[in-house]
Amino acid sequence: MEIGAGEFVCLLGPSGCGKSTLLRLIAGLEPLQVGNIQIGDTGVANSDTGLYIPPEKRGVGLMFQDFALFPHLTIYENIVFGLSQPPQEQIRSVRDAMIEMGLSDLSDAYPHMLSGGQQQRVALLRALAPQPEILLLDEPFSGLDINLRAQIRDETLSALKKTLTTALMVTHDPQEAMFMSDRIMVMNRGQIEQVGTPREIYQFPISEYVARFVGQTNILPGIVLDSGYDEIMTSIGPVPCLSMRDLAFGTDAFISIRPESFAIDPEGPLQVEVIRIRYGGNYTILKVKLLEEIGKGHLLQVHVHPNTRIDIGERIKLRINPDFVTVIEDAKPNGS
Amino acid sequence: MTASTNSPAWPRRLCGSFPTDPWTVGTLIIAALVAAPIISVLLLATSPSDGIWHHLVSTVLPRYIQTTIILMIGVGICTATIGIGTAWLVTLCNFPGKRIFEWALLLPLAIPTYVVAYVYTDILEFAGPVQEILRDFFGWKSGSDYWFPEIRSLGGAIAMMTLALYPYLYLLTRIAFLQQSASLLEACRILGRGPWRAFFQVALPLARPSVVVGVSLVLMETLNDFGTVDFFSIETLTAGIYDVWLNMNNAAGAAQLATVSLAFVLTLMGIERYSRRKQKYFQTISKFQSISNFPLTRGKSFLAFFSCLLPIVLGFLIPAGVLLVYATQFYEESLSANFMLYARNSLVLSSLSAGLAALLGLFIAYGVRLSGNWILLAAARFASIGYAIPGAVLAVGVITPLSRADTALNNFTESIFGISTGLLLSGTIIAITYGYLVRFLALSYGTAEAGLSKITSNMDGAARTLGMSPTKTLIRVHFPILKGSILTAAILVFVDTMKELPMTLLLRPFNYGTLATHVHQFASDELLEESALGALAIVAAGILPVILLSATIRNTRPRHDSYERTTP
Repeated sequence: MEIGAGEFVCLLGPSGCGKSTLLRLIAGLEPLQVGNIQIGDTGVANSDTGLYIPPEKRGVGLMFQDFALFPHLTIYENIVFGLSQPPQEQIRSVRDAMIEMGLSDLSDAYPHMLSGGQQQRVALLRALAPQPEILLLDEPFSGLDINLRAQIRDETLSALKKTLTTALMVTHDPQEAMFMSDRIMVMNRGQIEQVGTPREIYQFPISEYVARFVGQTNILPGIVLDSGYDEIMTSIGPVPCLSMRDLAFGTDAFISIRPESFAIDPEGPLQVEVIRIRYGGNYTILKVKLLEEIGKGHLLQVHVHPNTRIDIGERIKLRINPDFVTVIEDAKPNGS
Repeated sequence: MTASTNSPAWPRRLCGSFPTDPWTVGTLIIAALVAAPIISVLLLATSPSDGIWHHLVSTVLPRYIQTTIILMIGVGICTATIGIGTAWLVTLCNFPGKRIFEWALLLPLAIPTYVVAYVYTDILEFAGPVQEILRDFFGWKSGSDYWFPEIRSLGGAIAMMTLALYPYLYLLTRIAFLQQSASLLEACRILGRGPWRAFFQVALPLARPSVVVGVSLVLMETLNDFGTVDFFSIETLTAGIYDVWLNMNNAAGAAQLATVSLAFVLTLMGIERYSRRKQKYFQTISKFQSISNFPLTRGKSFLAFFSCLLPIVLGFLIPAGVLLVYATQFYEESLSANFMLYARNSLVLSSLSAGLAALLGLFIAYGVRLSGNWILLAAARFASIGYAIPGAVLAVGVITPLSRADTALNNFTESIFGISTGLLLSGTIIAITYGYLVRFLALSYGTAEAGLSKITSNMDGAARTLGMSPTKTLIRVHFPILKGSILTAAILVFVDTMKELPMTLLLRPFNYGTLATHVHQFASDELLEESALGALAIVAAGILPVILLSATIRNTRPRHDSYERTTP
């Protein structure tokens, strides 16, 4: 994998898939068993040549999930910890950044006196102060409560963009990954499964794993049709599909239909009965049972606008918007 | 950044050379030095011994073993009864004086067993004040007119050791009770159980691993004791090692006895380790609430009060009081008995050992943390079993390699420079300092390890990625955070070396005395009064760890502003 200068890349995967280990390998906190790592033009670890640059010589910044602020140092001492005999101008820029982040009154306070959000800001400033070539972020927002998280994400992004710092973040939260990254790498069992922009990952997942990890979806088996349109014949009938991945007609394939691909439409081809309703705030989640001849009794998950008034047992008609439908390779169809 | 995967991971791992950075090498060297005496005792024991073993078996050994076992059983049962009982009372019952008893019950820890024994012998023997008062009061003329228990007996030794050692059990069981979830005991009471049944059915079974650990520690101390058994002429294994070595001048025989003693220790250690492992499953606490106490009736309150008061009076107030009286009465005599010299020797030896132990303990703990290598961890763990091994046994283990090194050094310098170095290592305070380190390194290593384990490894990661080398990380991050616990470790080692008697007697240079050996020698010559000042100095130093320990117990239920916990 490669990360371009100034880019914000996110490693997305469930806990235990090896993403934090990858960060620690890049930082030099774990010995590399196989492969090589290069930062800028400099190789920092290579298993073949036995090259190993210790973390203090790599010029990386690292932000931890628990922030790892030094409890015995003040906020200011924490932030300038990585600067050896800092020049005046660097101190001034640290001071400026502290003012900007609302930390200037706290420079003599100790970490345990700060709120989670403030600690996070200190950790960010401390990691950025030595102007690292790359900033590594290990689930940096998971310790914060939801309301604060969005605000701190914004602050972090603008601080990074301002300093043009390259960043690699690991997270298990797809929302966070999509919100922040230029590019996402989805990891599965130590391997990178798909790399792409947030939109590509969400709209066109290449596997069931990716499709399910970044959101809810309906997975159906089918065959590519030679109808002149991009369509797939599935167990619920022909479904229009935006991304066909150049599969030849007659090929067996699976499709992923995001719940928001469905729209209520009196003219729609799919008649369904609503069997469950869950109000989700910004959308309403319906579970519906197909009443059509083909695929009768099939259960689907559908997102509709929260304003929609609907009751259990009601019969509605749906159509499928092809934007959020994609062909995926190996998959198991919905159990439902 | 590029990462490529082209060959399987395992062959490289197997071929990977052992790390050779200074931390790893240093840690291994220290661990090896500390382990050397322990290994040397083991080697001595398994080496051929010209029939000494058979001789020992057919003469003294059965008696030594029998006495040792009776002593251990007696001390074990008595300390468990007093320790657990008082711990339960002050932790879970309400009665007057409870707050004071909580820490005062630890006070007897300050007085070494042998000092307790000297004091009680002094006041309870035929010519002592107690029997004198009884004789005056009842008009008895001689010893044949009445019966009085003989203090210098096996029973007396059990009593003395119980008074000095029960705080170990009190301490560990009290922590165990404090760590039990309050809701468990509340559930127990709601289900209709009174204090007695709550104790026997819930609290005690849950505290069992801690009790076992406590009893093992007490028994290790019992095995270690030399002052009391020597003074009371009780033939235990430790007394035997001393006797066979110094009086019969038979070092190999002493080593043989040392291994028997070692077998006892290894059994105890096995039991202790096993229970510690279980301990974590028995820590039931989920949230920290204050434990609601059982209210006691008036009569029971009095009973509880006196049950807690008695061990403190007998184990601390009387011995310390007697020493204080003697020390003031015989102040001039004490000073003329070279008190200042011994005090200086003790101070120098203890400070040297405490400083070195604290430094080396931190070095090893940090070395293990840095490498994460299991060989290093195993070496460090092995090096810290010295704490369990009786001083007399360790002395055998220390003197053997040191005198070999001396001989080698002497031969070398004589052949090259024609100078004899003499007993440069085994005949100077190097030997005794080395012995102290082997025995007490576990204290400082354990403290440093516990302290370091509370600092998240992300702290290291943060410092390293901010440009600090491992050494700078230690100095700028870990050391300031750990200052307090390193100081604690140094104080514990300081006080323990100050009190240490059996190893000091065997390893001290010729004509060199410390406060402990001075008190031992004078008391053995029935001159306790003149060494009371020395004994009092040891007791005064011993109060320090009592203060530290009671602070530790109080913090068993964590406060919210705890300094070392840094996660938000």
